[in-house]
Amino acid sequence: MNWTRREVLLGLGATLCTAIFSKSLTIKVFAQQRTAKKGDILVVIFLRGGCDGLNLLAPVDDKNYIEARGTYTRITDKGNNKGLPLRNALYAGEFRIHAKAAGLKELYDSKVLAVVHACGLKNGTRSHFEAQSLIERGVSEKSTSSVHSGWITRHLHGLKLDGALPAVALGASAPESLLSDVNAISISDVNGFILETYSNYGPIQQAALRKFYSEDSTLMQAGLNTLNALDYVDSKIAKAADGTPLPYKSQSNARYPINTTYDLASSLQMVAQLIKMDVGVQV
Amino acid sequence: MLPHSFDSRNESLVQLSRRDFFTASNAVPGILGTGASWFLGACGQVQRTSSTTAHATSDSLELHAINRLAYGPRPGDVEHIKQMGFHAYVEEQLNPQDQDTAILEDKLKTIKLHIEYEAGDDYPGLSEDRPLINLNKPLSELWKLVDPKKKMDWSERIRPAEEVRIATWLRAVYSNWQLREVLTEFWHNHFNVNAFVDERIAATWPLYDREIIRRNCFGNFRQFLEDVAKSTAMQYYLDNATSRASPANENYARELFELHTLGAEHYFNHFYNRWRNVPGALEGKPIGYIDQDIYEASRAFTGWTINDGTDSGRGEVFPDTGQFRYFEGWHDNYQKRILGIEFDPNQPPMMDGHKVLDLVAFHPGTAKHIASKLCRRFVCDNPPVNLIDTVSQVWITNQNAPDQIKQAVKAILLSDEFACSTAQKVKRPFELVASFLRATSADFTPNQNLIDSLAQMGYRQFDYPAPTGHPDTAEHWLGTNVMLWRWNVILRMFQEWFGVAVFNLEQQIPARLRTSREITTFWIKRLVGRSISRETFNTLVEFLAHGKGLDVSPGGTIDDVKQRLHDLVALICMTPEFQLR
Repeated sequence: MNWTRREVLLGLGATLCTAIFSKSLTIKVFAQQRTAKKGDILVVIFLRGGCDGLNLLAPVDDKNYIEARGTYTRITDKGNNKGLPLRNALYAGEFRIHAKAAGLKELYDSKVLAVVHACGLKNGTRSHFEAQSLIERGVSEKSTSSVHSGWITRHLHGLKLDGALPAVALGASAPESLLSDVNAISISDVNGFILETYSNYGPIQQAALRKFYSEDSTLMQAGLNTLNALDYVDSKIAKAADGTPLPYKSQSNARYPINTTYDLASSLQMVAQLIKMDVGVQV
Repeated sequence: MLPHSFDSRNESLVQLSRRDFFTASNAVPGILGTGASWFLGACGQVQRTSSTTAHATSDSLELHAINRLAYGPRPGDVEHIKQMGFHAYVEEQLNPQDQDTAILEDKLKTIKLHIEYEAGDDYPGLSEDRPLINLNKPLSELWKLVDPKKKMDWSERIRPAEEVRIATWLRAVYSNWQLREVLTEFWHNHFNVNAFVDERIAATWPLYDREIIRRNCFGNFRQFLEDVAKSTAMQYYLDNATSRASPANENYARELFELHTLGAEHYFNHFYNRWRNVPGALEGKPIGYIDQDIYEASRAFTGWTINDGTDSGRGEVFPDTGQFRYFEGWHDNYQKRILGIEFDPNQPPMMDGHKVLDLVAFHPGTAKHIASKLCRRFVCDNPPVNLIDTVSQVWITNQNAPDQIKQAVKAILLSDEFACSTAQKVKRPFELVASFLRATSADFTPNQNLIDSLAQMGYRQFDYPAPTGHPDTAEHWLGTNVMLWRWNVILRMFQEWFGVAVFNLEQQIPARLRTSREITTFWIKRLVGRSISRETFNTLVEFLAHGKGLDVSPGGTIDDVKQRLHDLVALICMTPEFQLR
């Protein structure tokens, strides 16, 4: 069954309208409860700095590689730039990874990491922003206006989506890989993903928003998506007795190195939280 | 009952017929129209109408002006522009003076911004509310904050940048010279620098804001470009301060071409990677640039650096003042070729760099790039090509004039396309909050809570992480997280802990307005200024009435009504209509 935006609206709107003036304002969730599809979940982390791939992982005994690179930017099998060998069955010679990437080697040796080498842009742009944009839109030639959707957006169209939040971006706004995805949700803080009404009239304010964002335009749709996401996350998040969201606790007691300077760890913790909340996240 | 005091500055409530006030059910396609999934039709397709024949949903030219040249209307602004006339208002805003509103001057003098840190090895901790003391300091004073020998907390070193944030907010809300504020924001984004990555940038930020951006914001672009190139902020942000011959540091040259002047749309390296092949290059007029131009331009700027006590490695140790200087010893003085033009070797000091700035500043591609950005700021997200062309022409014609930018902006503001682009821009976070504060006549005290809340929305004032600056198209400002925070920021404004605004809503309502319907209509006109959907209007009136009739006073105790009045104002500012300007 194809997932359409209308299905999101129809699934939610009916139940919520009746709650507007009722006294107990625990918003009931959707009449048609969608069970999240159990299966593989794709977590995409785009490291947005620059990286010299051939100084990270390379075929150290390849004649062309040795000729093209000076010793400073080349991984070798001895000396100062000696790399760590990665066994592989595809190539008769030696692939080595940079000595400082021992952690990655460990994952590789445990067979949980694969590396796809030398896949990227054919276009040799040295513009950082253009390169990111091409990668995120999944195009290899510069054609800025013609492809106006992100690769993840197109990937999702090919999937069977069952949950209400199939694609979630952590951060203030959605990345270009989700461009034109009307269902994609961006969240900067899962436990803080609530409408911060504060007076007795708060619930009526929240209900009123649904009346405001009810027509069919991009702005209206943006508001409606947000209202739906708010209700859905609220219905799924673990709460204390007084209704406040509980801080996330991992089952294996994994500790995320949360750090105010770099938010990778807190974003990944939120990804774990969302997956465990069973909201149907697939990407 | 609501208090009876009357504010004589209030505009009288015009008796609008119900037909005038609501959008027709089949409204002209636009942002709020039905059936439009891209909410902007190509802006150039909208027919120009004079204000007398404009359909009921379009803003008056005066309201439109205050939403684009300014951060939205304060009470009385629309009437003021009607009286003086749109053209006179444009002229006034294009020619700002230094004298400003009394309330702005007063707030700049008296506001306090908290600063707090723990004791370090060589300094005590502190927690205090401190006035803005760094805004007008000269470089010699600000540079002292950078000295690593003077032990102090990081918060002290970056304090000047934080003070500029607060001052910028106060100006956006209280200055009479609104167009200058709008353009200052534009150019800060165009020449984006992240002030907080380096204390040398943050400590000297008042200079970047005052001497570079504000001084040039209506002026000559070639001059602007040179001032930016030599600024302490840009020199450190894009690493030109440490760029020496062979190999030069590419960062500044790349952004100079890709962001500041020609723009990525004129980057042709995927088609041509040899200079001869770029169309026009052999005649000295290449249509765009390739990587080789960037490499050569980087070489041209070697030696442009800052006196920061560095040992040059060539005998001289630089003085430590933070001033720009040129050091010949670091300059790559051999011949170059940039944009098809040969540069002879061994040119006089700084001539290579000056020549590069000339080439990029005067390239027709630059006129197009900047004209497009200005049109996007003032008109709509996809400005019509003929407007961009017209503005490019004005830009080029005035390229040596001291008021080049002013002329280009004027051409936009007086265009038909501007006049017919009402309500076509989605407010970015800064505009949303500034317009809210102006329309509610709030007593405004910007603080770190405000800065942090806007950062949640993706608006990072002076610490935007990429040199591209904040994007200016709606799609970047309508994600779920942004939408949620549009609403949450408004809601926080009404909460005491936030400490940003104090309201006086009841006193602003004319005494003769008593019913829920009348009061709601008053606030919609004050805050949004244009017609809204019937369903939204009814929902708002019903909210205020809270069970009582719509044409009687709102029900409940005085405190209930006061609370609902504040909540009503919040709701109006959470409507889709309020997100547009």
